[in-house]
Amino acid sequence: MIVAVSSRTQSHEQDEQIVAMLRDQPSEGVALLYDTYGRIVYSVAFRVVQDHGAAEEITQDVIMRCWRTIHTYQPGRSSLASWLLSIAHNRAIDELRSRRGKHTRSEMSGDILDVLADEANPLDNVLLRGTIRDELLSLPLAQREVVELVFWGDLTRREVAERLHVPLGTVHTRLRLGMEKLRQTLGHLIHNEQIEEAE
Amino acid sequence: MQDNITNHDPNCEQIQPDLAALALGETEAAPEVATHLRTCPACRATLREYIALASGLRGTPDLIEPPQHLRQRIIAAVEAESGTKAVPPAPAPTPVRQPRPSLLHRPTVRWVAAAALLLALLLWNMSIQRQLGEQRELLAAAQSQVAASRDNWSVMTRLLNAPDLHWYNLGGTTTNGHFWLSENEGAACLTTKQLPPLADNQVFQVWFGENGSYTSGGTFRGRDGMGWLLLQLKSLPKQYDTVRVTMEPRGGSATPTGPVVLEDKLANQQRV
Repeated sequence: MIVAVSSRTQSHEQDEQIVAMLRDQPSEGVALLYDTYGRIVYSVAFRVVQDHGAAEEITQDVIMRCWRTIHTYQPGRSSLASWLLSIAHNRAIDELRSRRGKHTRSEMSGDILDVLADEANPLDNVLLRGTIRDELLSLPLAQREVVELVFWGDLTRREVAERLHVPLGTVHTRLRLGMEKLRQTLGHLIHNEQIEEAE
Repeated sequence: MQDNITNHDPNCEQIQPDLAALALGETEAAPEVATHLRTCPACRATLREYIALASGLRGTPDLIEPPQHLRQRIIAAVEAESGTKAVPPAPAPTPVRQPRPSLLHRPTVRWVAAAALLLALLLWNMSIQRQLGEQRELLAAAQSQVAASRDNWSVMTRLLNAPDLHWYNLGGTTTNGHFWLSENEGAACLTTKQLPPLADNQVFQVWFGENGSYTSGGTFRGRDGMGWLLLQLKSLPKQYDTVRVTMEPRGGSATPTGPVVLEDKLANQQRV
């Protein structure tokens, strides 16, 4: 019996293998986890902190944390990659905030944002990497710059305005236009994820 | 996508940049934004979509190769942490009785005590040497096992990422699994779950067959009802349309003799 299997199913099967290995054979499981997702985790960490040494530390922390807390991972909620990159991004932002003397992100999260973040279906950022990256790169440079400075640089809109020497209102407009364009072009992916989740 | 945002509502219009910034991680939103979100389902839906988009952005940075030593460093840290947990606590030291001082002053007793001490030291040294030898053997075996595991997982990783990866669902009465195969990598892997329990003197043996003739692919023991076996394509027969797993005596059999726990046909015409 042969079943045609999509890349999404392939990814899920692979995630199941990794999770089972992490639980039963830690060293081998971590090796497989690292071989599969180590490069993208390192890339996310470096994109935020812009420092190879810190990116190494963060990657090690993220992989170790994933292994230690694998019992909390919910496969129906997100792909292993999404879960891993969420940890990596937050850990890297916390590192950045620590260096700047800011509060860590978790301390500043509002209650309603936490609730909505739990309800949102994360896009599978590894499987859809090419598509999302293409759409991001197709944004006008001024809009992409603002989106990236807030997301990767952890800057507030006011800090972005100061960095770019433009009025705050201009930053608001660029941010709204950029995110709205991404929502229009990638909205079908979000809804596909929601449909698959419901099924 | 939500198209029902009430653009005529100035509040909804005004907080769009706040929603985008919140989703991207800016947490210094004005209190009135939270107030508005509590009463506006459309803006909550928009924010949910922005959050989903932001999760997608995490996969977009330029890929950078981490330094080669990082993999080993992480694995060593995991081994140290998991190994530490597995090490049994050191046994409590045996209390040593102190000889009575009055006896030690007698020359005969002193010689006997010295001889006993020498004998004890000799025996202790021999015991330590024997334990060290055993530990060295265990360490060598463990190192060899880890090296083999790394090799296996290296092959497995290449296999799972091969562009020509094909796999087959294998369904049995209770046991089921998958057979993964890449011609380019010259490798295949059988993964199984819901295996029955094995006796200590038994193994699972994998067979590849056609027209009732079976060739062994190897044996495995499995754990917690799950097991896997990595195979080299060059070691498999050129033609086969069936995968079978049987329970056999430890060491395996020349032909299938034990109970069949899994058997399924592979459709050759779909194997590219």
